[in-house]
Amino acid sequence: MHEIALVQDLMDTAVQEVGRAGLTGRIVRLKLSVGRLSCASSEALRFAFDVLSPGTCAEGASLEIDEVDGLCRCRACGSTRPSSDLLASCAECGSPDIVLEGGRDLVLTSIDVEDS
Amino acid sequence: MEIIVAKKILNANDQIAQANRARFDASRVLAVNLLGSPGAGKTTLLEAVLPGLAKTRKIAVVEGDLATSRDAERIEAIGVPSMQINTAGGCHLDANMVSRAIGTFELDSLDLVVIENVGNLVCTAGFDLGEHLRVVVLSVTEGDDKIEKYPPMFQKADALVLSKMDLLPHTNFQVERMRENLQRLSSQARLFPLSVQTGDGIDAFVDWLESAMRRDRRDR
Ligand SMILES: Nc1nc2c(ncn2[C@@H]2O[C@H](COP(=O)(O)OP(=O)(O)O)[C@@H](O)[C@H]2O)c(=O)[nH]1
Ligand SMILES: [Mg+2]
Ligand SMILES: [Zn+2]
Repeated sequence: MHEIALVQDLMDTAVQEVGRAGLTGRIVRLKLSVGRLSCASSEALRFAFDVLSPGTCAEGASLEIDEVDGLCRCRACGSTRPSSDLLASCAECGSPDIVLEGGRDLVLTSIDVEDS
Repeated sequence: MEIIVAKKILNANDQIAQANRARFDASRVLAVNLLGSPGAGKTTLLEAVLPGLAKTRKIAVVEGDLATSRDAERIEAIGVPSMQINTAGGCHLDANMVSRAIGTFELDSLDLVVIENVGNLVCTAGFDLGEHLRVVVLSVTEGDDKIEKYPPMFQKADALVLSKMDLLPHTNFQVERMRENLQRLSSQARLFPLSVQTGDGIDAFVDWLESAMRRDRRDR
């Protein structure tokens, strides 16, 4: 359940960014992009957010999670496609010699702040 | 009003990990992150290899567990200084915990720091601690499908120790199947099948660690 630590970091980052933008209103929506290879589960993130947000300026905010794939690149034929399957073979030529890039990050992409 | 941010979460961890790595580098210490399930044989492996290495190298161990200082005591018992971190329910070590732990060591006097992570094949894979090498321990009693089920853990490994090989005849573990899956991951991991019970395969792993320490000294 390291999603608790992730959501704590997410909320700290959000508060910091709101302050940096010179805003003071409540946070009403957070958008999060979650790589499918990030070892974080969206469901557990939502649960952690429900537990941690009450009493903060993000209380009641909606958490929008966009799950994103990595990019699978074939070293044999050079083709690329979105994928999160580390064990897959190339869909074009069948070669098992693939590399998966990205898809590992958790990124806070946008914050909606109530107009005050 | 919407603020567009694009801020990476866990960036704080990555930054502290980089700082840890810089501290290891400045002191010419090789740092190893030792990972695997609970009971895979991580502490037992350290008990088997560290006494020999400690004859010529200065070593310290960081032990991560939810509770108890049992593993740190096991390491102290073989004459190697160790520091226990209790994560109090946390499922992984993070760079900040390791930063505090290595603050208690005289890093300049050390050659090798081994960080035994919390037993877990999932969460620990996502946290850089500032290590140079990742060693994953998988025991033959866990089944040969673990690479397929937990690929991120194995993909980033520099070495895979296949432990408890003495028990292989009592299991349905197929080493070939596991080796194929490791290849399918395009993993760079070196495979070390070994048994602490019989001593088979230990030397090859020790040689690998020794050469990593030599390489580490040359590079900096
Ligand atoms: N038969 C056999 N048992 C082993 C071997 N290595 C470790 N064990 C046993 O596996 C159990 C768990 O080992 P431990 O090192 O505490 O696992 P850790 O949780 O990964 O640190 C202990 O009872 C060890 O004695 C081995 O090579 N062969
Ligand atoms: Mg242990
Ligand atoms: Zn291809």
